[in-house]
Amino acid sequence: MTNTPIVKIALPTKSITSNEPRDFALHSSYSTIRIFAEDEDDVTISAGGSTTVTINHDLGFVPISMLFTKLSPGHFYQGVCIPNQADGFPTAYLYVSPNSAETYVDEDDLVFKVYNTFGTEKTISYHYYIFADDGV
Amino acid sequence: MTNTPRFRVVKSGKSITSSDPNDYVFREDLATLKVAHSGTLTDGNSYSHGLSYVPIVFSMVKFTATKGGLVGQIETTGSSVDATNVNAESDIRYYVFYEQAI
Repeated sequence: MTNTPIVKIALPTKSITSNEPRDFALHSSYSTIRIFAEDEDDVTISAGGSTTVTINHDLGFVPISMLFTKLSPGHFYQGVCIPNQADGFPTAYLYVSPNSAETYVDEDDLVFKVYNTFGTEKTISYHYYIFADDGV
Repeated sequence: MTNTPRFRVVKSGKSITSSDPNDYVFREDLATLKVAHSGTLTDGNSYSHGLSYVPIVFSMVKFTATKGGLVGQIETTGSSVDATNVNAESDIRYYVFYEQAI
């Protein structure tokens, strides 16, 4: 008989013999997604203008990628095309383009474009995650 | 005295006694996102995930074979998940996780 080795770490108060995947911090039968790169930075957008941010990853495949932008103080928003209501939407706002020509991830880079419709220059923070798993 | 077993892998440059979860690659008391299924769907099709809850799902639009969208990026109509299916409203790659979303 051949035994199949299994590595399991149950979460606190959960049983190691549980059949529920959510009860484990680690279970060798289930893959997890792995973070290849993450960072936080700022980007400045001119009044009424736009700025393209390019983050090089060079993985050679299109990875799962996530973006969070801080469009108003203390609030990070996931994803794209989220106007800043706290700053007066719809009269003026900041947003990350959802257009596939302007925001995308390919085999080399994560690219996104931020628009500013305010009459003054704006600087926003962003936080990105690039995972070592296929995104397309 | 009873010791609580621990299994921790700290990130390079961080302390194993840190109380900040961000300092760890792995910690035995923090759940990880375990993949129940991943695959691709074409526009208008669904995948039956077989879970008894609405799971966390990552969905990325496939623009071309070598170019895709970010998680949650919606150019036209967004895909969705419910307690039964992942529903594609464009060509997507998806990951279904063993964690309840709502």
